[in-house]
Amino acid sequence: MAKKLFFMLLVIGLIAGGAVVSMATGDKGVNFDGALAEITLNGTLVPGVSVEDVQYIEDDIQEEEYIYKKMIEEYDSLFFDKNIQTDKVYIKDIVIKKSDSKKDVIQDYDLLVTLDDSVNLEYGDFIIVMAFVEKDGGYELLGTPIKVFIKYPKPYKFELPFVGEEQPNRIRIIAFPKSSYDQFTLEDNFQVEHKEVIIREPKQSFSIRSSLINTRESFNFVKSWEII
Amino acid sequence: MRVSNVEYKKSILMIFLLLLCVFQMGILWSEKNPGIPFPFINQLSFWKNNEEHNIDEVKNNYYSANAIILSDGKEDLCWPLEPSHNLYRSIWKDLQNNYLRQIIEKKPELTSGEKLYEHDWYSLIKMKCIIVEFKNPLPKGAIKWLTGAKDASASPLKEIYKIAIVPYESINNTENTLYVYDGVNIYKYLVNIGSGDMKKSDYIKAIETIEDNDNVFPMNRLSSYYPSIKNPELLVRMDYSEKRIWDLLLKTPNEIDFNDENVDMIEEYLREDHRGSMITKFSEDGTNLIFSDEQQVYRYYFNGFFDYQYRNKNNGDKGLVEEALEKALIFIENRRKKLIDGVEIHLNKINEKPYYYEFIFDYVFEGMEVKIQDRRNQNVQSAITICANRDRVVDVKWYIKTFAYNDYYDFYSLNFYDFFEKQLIAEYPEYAIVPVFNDISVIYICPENGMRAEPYWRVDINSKPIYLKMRGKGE
Repeated sequence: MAKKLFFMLLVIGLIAGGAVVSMATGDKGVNFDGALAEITLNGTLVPGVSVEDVQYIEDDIQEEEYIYKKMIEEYDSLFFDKNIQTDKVYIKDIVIKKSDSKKDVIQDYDLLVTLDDSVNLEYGDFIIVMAFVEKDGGYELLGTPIKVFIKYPKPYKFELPFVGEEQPNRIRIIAFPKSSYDQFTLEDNFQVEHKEVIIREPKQSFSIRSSLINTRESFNFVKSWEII
Repeated sequence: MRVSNVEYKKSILMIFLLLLCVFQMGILWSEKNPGIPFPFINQLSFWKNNEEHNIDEVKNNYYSANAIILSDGKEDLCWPLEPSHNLYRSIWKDLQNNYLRQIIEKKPELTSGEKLYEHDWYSLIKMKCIIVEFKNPLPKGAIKWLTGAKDASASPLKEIYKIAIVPYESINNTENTLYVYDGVNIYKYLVNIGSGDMKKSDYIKAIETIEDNDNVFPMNRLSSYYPSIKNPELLVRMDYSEKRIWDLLLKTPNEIDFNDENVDMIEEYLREDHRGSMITKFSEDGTNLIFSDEQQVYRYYFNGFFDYQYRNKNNGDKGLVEEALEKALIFIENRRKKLIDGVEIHLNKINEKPYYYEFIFDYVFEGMEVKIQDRRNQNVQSAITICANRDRVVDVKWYIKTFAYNDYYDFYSLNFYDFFEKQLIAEYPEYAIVPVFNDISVIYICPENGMRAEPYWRVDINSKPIYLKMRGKGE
């Protein structure tokens, strides 16, 4: 009898142990690659990111946006002074080039910067790079500012507002260390650069081939509706 | 009359026996002292000539372009072709069968030097052209022998490193314009287009339509993103598409499997010649099998590593590079054709030493090099190194392996930022601020005693190579 009881307890113990392991993933699903995944707020599966993480990231982004907005308000006279000149160099080799990812969208651009060799960042510190475009007599922030803490950071992506040779996009790039955002001085911790980008209007060239295709497509469309 | 007839037959028999005796003595003499004073066996061995004849038929398999890249002259996008791509094969065939030979035989055209691209390689490759690159510069003599060129005396070239095919330059449809870069200077050549070659209009069409080819993924020059990059030619992938890469299974060929019962087979397959007897024994620790005589030592290890040494390797005339290369290729070909299948062996580099030439070869599987990592100091090295002079091979280090897909594949991102931020800086944080990239590539690495080759990033950074195991999507 004792043996039977021991055996039953053992089986129950094993089931309980197995259940703990199998339930350990909680509400997570398994994606097509077999990796554990969470259902995000918009219903998509992101491997390795929990709902709490998503919430935290979104809060973080909102907080950052708020800080950037506040900074721009606070330092607008410094940021947007057209006569300002700075000597400090945090970023170099500033390149603004058309984004490769969407070839058809002519206004999508990438800003690329290289961290200057002289920059020595403390642990946790980074350089904030913000780009603005001159618009309606003022400046408008382009895209989301980037944090630079490695030599070759990812591109800063944004959409430029003006197309045409008569409407150049006048861009002002500002770089400063995060650690000194509440104590800006022109001499010590602030870099301003100016760039101008002209987006040429795409040529509307006439092509016999494409016009024939369009005619044929229109014909097929009309035919599909049994109009003729 | 009858008696004299018997005597006559006896005399004939005696002479025959005497000749047989001399013949036997010659064999023994030749076995004991090969090649001295005259190569007795060589006069009789017809297979030697056959081998040399065969090497002419297969020598083209032992070298290839490291990359063939199309540049459409717009911005800094380039389209590297996979070796399996039809266009890659056609362009390489034109070069191998025709253009390289003409480069070696002809004098270069005179250039005014006024145009920047005539003396600046980086300006040249930003134009509309097709760039063909070797892994390392190849000496003129080696190319001469490999292509069967007759006379190389007119060419001022010492080496060929990279070639830019610019089909737009000449208005003559029967000739193509090539710019040859030896690592220092640029030489312009006008080469005749052969009847079986791609037409000039095919070259132009390939360049003009490459952007629309969905099978060829573009790469960007990293210097167009970050101008301070030291190597302006360095190409990286900026898109986020993934590539499926199989792990490989590397095994010692069954024919020369390392065990007691296989000694005769191993000797049969690996020995240079089978004249004379050799001392055959296992090493004291049992890890390798040794065949040796007064002149040479063969060692064959349990992991497929083959080590051959000619004892007088530092004596003799090293001769011309093409003579030594021929000896090296015959050495490989005589063994690989019986043992190795499913992989290509390509010449990577030639080093000139005081008494011989050192030829470094790599296994290449579907366009990716397969390197070996040694157990002791974790060095990653090429699988085959052969030292040879004009007369013979004097030193060989060769991991003899067969190749097949293993049981696993994964999808790998080749994106530069995925590599730089998620792998390089994650594993080497010191490179976040001061990386000096010279080259970035993807190769296979197999441990010396292992059977699985996996894909790795190979990065030449701050003048030293770093190897990072690629992280697949499923990891």
